[in-house]
Amino acid sequence: MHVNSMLKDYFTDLEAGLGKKLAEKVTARRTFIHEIARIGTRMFDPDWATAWTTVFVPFEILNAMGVSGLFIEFVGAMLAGAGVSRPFFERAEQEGYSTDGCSYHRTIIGAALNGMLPEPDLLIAASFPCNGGVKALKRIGEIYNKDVFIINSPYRDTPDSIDYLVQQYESLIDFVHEKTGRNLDDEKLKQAIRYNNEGREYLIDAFELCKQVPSPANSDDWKNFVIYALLSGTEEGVAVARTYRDELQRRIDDGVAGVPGEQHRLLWVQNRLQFKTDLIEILEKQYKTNIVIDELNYVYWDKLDEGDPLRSLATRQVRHPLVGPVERRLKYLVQMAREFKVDGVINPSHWGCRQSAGVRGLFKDAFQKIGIPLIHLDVDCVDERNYARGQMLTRLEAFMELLES
Amino acid sequence: MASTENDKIGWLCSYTPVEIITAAGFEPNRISGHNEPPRVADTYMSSNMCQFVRSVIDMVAEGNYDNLRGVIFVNSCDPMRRLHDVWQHIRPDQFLYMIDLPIHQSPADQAYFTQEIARLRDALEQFSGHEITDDAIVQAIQSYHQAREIYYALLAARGNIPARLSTMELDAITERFFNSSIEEWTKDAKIILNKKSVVKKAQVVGHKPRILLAGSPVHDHGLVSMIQDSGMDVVFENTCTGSRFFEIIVDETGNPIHDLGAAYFNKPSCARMMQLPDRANFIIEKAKEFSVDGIIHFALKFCDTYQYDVPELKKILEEAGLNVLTIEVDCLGSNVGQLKTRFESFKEMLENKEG
Repeated sequence: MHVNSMLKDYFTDLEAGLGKKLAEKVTARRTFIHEIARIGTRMFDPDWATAWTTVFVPFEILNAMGVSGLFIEFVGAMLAGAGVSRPFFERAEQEGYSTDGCSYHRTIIGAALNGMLPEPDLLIAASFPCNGGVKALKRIGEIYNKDVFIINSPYRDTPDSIDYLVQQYESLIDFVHEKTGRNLDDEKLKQAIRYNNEGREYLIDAFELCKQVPSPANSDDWKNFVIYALLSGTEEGVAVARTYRDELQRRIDDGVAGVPGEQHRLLWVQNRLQFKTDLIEILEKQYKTNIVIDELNYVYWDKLDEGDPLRSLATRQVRHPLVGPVERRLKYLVQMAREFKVDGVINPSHWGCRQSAGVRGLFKDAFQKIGIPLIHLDVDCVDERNYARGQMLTRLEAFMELLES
Repeated sequence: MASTENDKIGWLCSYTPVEIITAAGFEPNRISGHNEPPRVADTYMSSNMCQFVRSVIDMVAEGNYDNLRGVIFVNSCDPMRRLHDVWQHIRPDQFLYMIDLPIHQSPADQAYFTQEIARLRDALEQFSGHEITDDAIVQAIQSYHQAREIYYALLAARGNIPARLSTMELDAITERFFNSSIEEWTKDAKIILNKKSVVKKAQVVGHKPRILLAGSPVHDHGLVSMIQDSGMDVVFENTCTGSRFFEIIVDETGNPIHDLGAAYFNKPSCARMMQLPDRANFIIEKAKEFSVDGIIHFALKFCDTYQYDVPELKKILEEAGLNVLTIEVDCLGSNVGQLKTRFESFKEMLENKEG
């Protein structure tokens, strides 16, 4: 398949550019994005097998098998961030995909149809957080004539459900072996669990620092940190987490606030806007407002057990806040709002995201009960063709007036 | 077992093993929402959810399902999970139960689904305070088996050329199945099947293009009426509100929970089960069996489950030589003019092809 070199160039340039900057000065954000860029370049590296996945799959297993996992929403976000997604939307629409579907997924379908992406070795989808992701990977599987392994993520947190998920992880390992010839090295998996635990401790410390008022981090320091999942169980992941912890501690020691003169602290629900906007800049500079915690960055899982890695990973998946009834998610959201002392919540209510938009009224209700206002932006986080800046700023202004009153 | 108005348990998805509800002494009652633009649902969920889910929220909020003792959901799609959450928010006092439905890949998935049915039995036993015996489940299985056989006989009468039963008659019978006790329905349906008047209804009015309607559940019969009024004849409905619920054959092996698990899990799949080639093949097979001239694929607006299938499904069906019209509908009332035009054009195209 012809592969457009634009994507390869993008990741290669990003990796090289950040490499140079890191040589000048190490920052947590640079270290993080540099590692992510390195993962991006692996798509073009014949020494690595590549798996395209949905957002929450056990990357530790893949890493331990020498498979570089990339979740498609990440690629969709990256294309939007680079401002190049328009032709992919148009291609998907020409093929008959509805514009009401999630734009993270439509971008990647369009990009695959346009031959923009290197052929993956594997396709792995989990049935949570959404069905749309599974559907998108199925369609991509048809484009490349490849099977898609689906992880049925159980709805309930019970011992039986965890047993069932462990069974599926075992089948996943067989699937990866069958498709790539790579075996699972048990010792590598145990090491991945150790790295995960080590990184987790650093992250807990780092987020603990952000609970301070003012927060040492600014709104963009943790932007899209959900992508850290790709580094789960790796030495590089530990280094990234440690760098964040150290840098934030240093800022506190030096009396440096993430947003100087921080007046308002916000919780951001689910994903950020992926295309370039001045929304964050306006929040920070005009309103002295800081996004101090993103929902998806929260360390919700317990320490993993290297003695029983698969069960441990299955337990983590079954207990994810986005699995099961929304009560669990609301509980975590409220907990985050309290712990991080936020005085407002932004829910982008991403167009096309049924799993989240289907309970937006319940989000509002949950925060109302603890006296914290929430705004739904009603925006498409990826498809900037629908972005109405003026309208967005008017709504934001009204929300900020509410916070200031 | 005779049921009263207060013994109804609601259900929504064709993967709901209604035999368990019946065996528990309740009357399964299919929830179908309403056919108008949403009224209060947008207070709870975004407007980019399908009309079906939003209309059900309206009905819950307005107290129209207060008569139900409980509701059985299936983890079939994101909006269905959210419907469950919003329903619980509005009516925390009602018995609400979610059946988890895996996508079929291995025997472990079927075993898990079977376990889910056993769990449903336990939950209903706890809720009702009565044991649900294997004998009661077997009896329910047999009742539904008989009903499904009658449905197929009626469907065959519908599929005959010329038809011995009209589309709208069959739709009315199907709808009644979802909203009455199995005993009453079976009794009435038998009468219809045996009635000589059915034969008299045979119409030879010239050939109308024969249509297989596939896609999202059709809760508004106005859609079928509109297709009929456009001069076409819907002879098979491959939807969860049409034949799909009846395409279940329970092999009795002595373990009724296991038998129900196998039967429901292995029935011809809907779009949710992510087996597009199987779904396409089933449509192709039925199109041949029912001498179909064209396929109308209906996807509810905002229904990812069916929308994501449309481009590839259309391609497969067209490669198989079928004529395909794909439509997307939010609330039928707001689309009448445009749909009518599209149906008429499709009909003309089919007639031109027939020469």
